[in-house]
Amino acid sequence: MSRTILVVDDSLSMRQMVSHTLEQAGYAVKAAVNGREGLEVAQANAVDLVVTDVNMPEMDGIALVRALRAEPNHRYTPILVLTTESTDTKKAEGKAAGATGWLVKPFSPDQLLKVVTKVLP
Amino acid sequence: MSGSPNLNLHDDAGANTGPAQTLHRVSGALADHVGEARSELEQALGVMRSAVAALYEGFRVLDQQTRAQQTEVAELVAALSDDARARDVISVRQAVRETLDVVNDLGRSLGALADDGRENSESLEQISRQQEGVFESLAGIDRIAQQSRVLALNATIEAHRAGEKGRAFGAVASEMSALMKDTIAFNEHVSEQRDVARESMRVIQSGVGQRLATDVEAARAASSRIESLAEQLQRLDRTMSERVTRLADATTAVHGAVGEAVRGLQFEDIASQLLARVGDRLVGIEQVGLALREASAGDAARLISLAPEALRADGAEAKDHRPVHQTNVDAGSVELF
Repeated sequence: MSRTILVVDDSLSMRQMVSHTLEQAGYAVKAAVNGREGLEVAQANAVDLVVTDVNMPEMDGIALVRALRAEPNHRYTPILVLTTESTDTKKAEGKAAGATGWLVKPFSPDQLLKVVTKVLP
Repeated sequence: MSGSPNLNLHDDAGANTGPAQTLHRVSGALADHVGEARSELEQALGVMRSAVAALYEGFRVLDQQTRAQQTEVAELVAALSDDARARDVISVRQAVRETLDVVNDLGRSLGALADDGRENSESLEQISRQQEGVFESLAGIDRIAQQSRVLALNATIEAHRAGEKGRAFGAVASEMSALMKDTIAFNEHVSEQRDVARESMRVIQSGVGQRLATDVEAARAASSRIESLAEQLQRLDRTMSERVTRLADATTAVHGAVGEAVRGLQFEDIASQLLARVGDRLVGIEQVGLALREASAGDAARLISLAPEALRADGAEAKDHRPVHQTNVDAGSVELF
């Protein structure tokens, strides 16, 4: 049975590119357009990994990480932040919220898959 | 490109007006500029998103096809490689090797067949010679029969001369004459059989020789043809292997290029965020323009005197947090906590 990965990004093209990369590697993908929707999807489905953007409307990626860590089901689910943000301050904020890793855009498909393989339990 | 809104600081008569009117005109022109800029920014974002969506769809299909091609090539490589046997599939290379083994076995069998044929031919010649010896020996019987005939004739004559006394001897001579006739008849029969046997032997020797020559020649031709086919197969195998390797390299290169393209296409997300920030700043400028428009003459003078400091403060605040620092589409960093 394939692993399920939740992709959260407000950019349609980013959602498509990340989803396609993961699907081609054999993962099942669920997608959400912002943190709030991502949280709802994660609450309603078994998700093995979350890949989220930071700057999104309604609920940003850092808030989503915090909300997921508050969920018993996702306390230990790996969460990768995939963002244009590259400052140490933002990274520290993400780490403090409970993110597993920080990937700065643009990602290369092989690089993303390598990290995903590494963090999946 | 559309023309810029006209920033006219003079009234219709061309005379200078007061600060409030000037500010009003400036703010109006500013609002026009900002409005146009925001509209064009939205338009640029729309065009960029649409172009990236189309490009991405093309690369997505290309990526899928490349992966399918990669699978096919991998199957071909496996079929051509020695590992094929492990999967109960015979490889072309293995097939060629086994064909050559069969050809070599066939060659050895043909050599043995030719040797056997030569030995058989020699045996036939030996049998023929022995047969001739037997026939020559039988020819001696004919000489004995002739001598016996003369002997029987003389015995009969002598028996007649002896009269009554030679009657018993005449009976023996008569039996000898009958025996001689049987011997001659037997000899004639043997001679006929000898001729038949010679002809049969000649036919057999000729047939064996011709058959041997024809079969060995045909087998050699077949062996030579199979060897030639095996060599052609080997050449084909080498050519196929080289081409499949080149195809695999090309497919890997296309896969890598698609990855590069996917990375490059993320400029849309990065640029969108940057342009959204520009949009936010335009809204700020628009608000400043509105404030200027509503300012009184006294406020205007004070605003103008405060403007340099305010602009510096705004600039510092604007630099406080930038969500995008990328200046190109090189792959971003990865950090695992």
